[in-house]
Amino acid sequence: MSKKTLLMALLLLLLALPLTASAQDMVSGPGEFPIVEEPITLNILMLGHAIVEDFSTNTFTNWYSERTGINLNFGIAPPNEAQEVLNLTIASGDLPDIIVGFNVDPSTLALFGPQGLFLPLSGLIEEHGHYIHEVFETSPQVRPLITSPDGEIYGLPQVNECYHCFYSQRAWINSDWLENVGMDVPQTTEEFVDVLTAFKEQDANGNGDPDDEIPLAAAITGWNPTIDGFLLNPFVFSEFTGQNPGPNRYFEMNDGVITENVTSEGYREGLRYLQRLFSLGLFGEESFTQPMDQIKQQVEGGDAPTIGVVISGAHPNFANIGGDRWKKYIAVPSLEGPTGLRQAPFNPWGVGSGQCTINSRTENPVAAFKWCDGLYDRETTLRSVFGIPQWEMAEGEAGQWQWAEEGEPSLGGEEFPSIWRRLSTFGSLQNVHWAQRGPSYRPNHLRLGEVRRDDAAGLEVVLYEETKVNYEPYARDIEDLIPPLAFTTAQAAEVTDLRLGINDYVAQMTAEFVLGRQDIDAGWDNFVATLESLGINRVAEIYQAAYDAQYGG
Amino acid sequence: MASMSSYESNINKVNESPVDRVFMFVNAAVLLVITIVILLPLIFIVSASFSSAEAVIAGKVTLWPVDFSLLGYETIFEHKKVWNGFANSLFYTYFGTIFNVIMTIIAAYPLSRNDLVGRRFITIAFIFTMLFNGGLIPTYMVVRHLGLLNTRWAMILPTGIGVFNLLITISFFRTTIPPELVEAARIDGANDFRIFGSIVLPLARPIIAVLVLFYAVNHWNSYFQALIYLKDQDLFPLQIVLREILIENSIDASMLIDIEDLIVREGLRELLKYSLIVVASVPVLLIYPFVQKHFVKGMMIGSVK
Repeated sequence: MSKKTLLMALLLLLLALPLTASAQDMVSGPGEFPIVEEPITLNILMLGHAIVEDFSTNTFTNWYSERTGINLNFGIAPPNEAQEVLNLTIASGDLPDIIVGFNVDPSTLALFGPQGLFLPLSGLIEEHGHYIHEVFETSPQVRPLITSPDGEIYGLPQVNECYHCFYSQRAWINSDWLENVGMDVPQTTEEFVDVLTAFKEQDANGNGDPDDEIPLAAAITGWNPTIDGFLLNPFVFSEFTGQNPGPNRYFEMNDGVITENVTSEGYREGLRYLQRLFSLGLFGEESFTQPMDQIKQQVEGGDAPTIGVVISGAHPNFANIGGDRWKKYIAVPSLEGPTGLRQAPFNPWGVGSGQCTINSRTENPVAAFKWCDGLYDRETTLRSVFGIPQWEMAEGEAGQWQWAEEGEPSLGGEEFPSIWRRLSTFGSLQNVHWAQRGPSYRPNHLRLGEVRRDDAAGLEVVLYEETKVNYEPYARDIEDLIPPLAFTTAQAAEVTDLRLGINDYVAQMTAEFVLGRQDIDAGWDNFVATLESLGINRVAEIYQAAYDAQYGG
Repeated sequence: MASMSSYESNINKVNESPVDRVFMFVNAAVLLVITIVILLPLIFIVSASFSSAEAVIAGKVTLWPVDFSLLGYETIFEHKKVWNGFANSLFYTYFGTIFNVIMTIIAAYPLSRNDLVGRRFITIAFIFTMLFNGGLIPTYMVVRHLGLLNTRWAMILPTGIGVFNLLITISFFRTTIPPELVEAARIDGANDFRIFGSIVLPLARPIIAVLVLFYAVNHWNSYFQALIYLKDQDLFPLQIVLREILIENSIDASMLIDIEDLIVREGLRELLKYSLIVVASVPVLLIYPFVQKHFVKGMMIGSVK
């Protein structure tokens, strides 16, 4: 070998070096599969799910690995302790390549993103994104919601435009009872009192005993279950409730100005109304303490249900969907208050933030990003959320879904052409899909493009139709809704701290006022003063600042 | 033991006074009430686990199973996570307890001997950790740097000794093994290891039984360690799986919920609630009879000095 050839060889080798270095991240073009030619493995921390047997052997996991060329090495966090595991992972600095399914909240992203823990994604989105662009185009609300105050994007969302979930503050009334007392569904707060009184006085459930009826019941666990949610809205805007009340509860926005409303005259009027219902014996003290399970027993137990109206987001909360009684509970529309106010709280965002974050030190940032991006594809979404399509099943075995046939009626009616048909009834433990963990994209037209079914799964139809007629017409103006806010660290700490005191105090005083242990008028000044000393105005200030920073108020 | 039986026979000889009889009657009545209060929920859970989910939801089950059904147990048998967790919990409990007991005994015996140099200091060092510790994240870092993260060792090694149990054990040795005994053995030519193996251990049976029970129950019920140290689902103990299925998921009101998700989770919870509780409690119930005879004796140890 001559010196010349040796030199040439060396030169070639040198030239090749950068090439091999970048081969680490050699990926396909936007939207092309497989993402990598040579299979790679990513470490993933996934939030577990009670009904997914094993993510590492899951049918969808295998299918998507084959499609992308990316294998996954799973770490699983128990779902009840998501926040603890996430905090620990972040604090220890021991991040896997991707964290999926955690709903990392905007404040956490805004805090640790700029510190360099999470990879900034907007560059990758421009250069390598494909399906995410479709999300941004079809659902324009998404991009501002996932953008941190510094203008970067640190976590990819799950988008689920669940129409009926937008209006989840609902109440359900037993239609048999209405028939038995010969009344119509109440439309105003006064009619509501009349109906409940009739329930109480007559043998509304028709079992021969006029005294076993509980006209109205609420609970402390479940989906918007509390007595001071749905029933306050005829008087004052009252946000979503429950064990984890909506972040904006006790606040409202009008023309871009955020104020608290818990010390307002409307709120006081609402408390008076609840107090009146209580003193008439229309609901019991237990509505302030019982879990939803207790209501379920009263709805399902005995020879007839003993509860007339349940405050709850949807039936599975308070009735057994496998049975028949749930079908009797029809929606009570948003009630009209004495001042003519009639409104339904509205949560139109449909965006779960931080469903996929990428470790800034991962060796394969582009592949990791493209892996997340691919999950927004329609077929991939249906596979990850619902399971195996029919055409991949052997003869005689049932898959979970299939494409709709021409002209099949859809859930959303004429407006929404049918796209797909759900084949499974609601299963339990399974190992074919990810049960809504991780990024996915279900826009309105996909959800409402489901082929209509009238069997057990018909709950979706019921919720859609009830919502369309009884709640959507009264939706609060979207301009006057406080969107999800991303706080700075200092703001987040302060808000969390103050809210804790405020939420507890308001909950306690609401019970005292309504149960008549304190007089609403005599105790009001003290109530207002205490709330002020608990910093309720400061919270409004912080909300305003965060809102202005994010949405340019 | 001798004094106890003579005490009992004395009672039989002396006629009970009316006051005594009233006392015994009230005593029995109170104990009966307490027994019922404790027993009823247990019976209910067992009955509910053999009833259909619908009957349980409707509140029809009181004492005996209604609509007898084994569906809950069948589902558990098919539920890989549950069985896996069950096997893991048995593993952690068995080996963890052995490790704990060995560590505790070999630490406690020397500390009970007055002739150990620096005994006070070492004891205080142990007690110090009872009152102060590094906190969650530093502990996590230590475990991580030791390479225990996500291994079965993480469930066994980091809690080798319970200081409270150690103190009980020290106190046991103090009271049951007099220095004279050790001296006598030494005169007979036994070294410290021989003394420990041939004299101390056989005498320590009651305290070992107590330690086994304490540690085993602790291991069986523990979930926090698993929660922070384990990421691999195949290593999860039963308690983690239980929490996942049984605890009513608190619903974040501002989030969107899918009805399907809600139904499936509620359904699974209702179906498995009681059978899971039974399955999870049986092992602990099974240990108890075996150690019970030692337990009563062992518990008293250290109470009288």
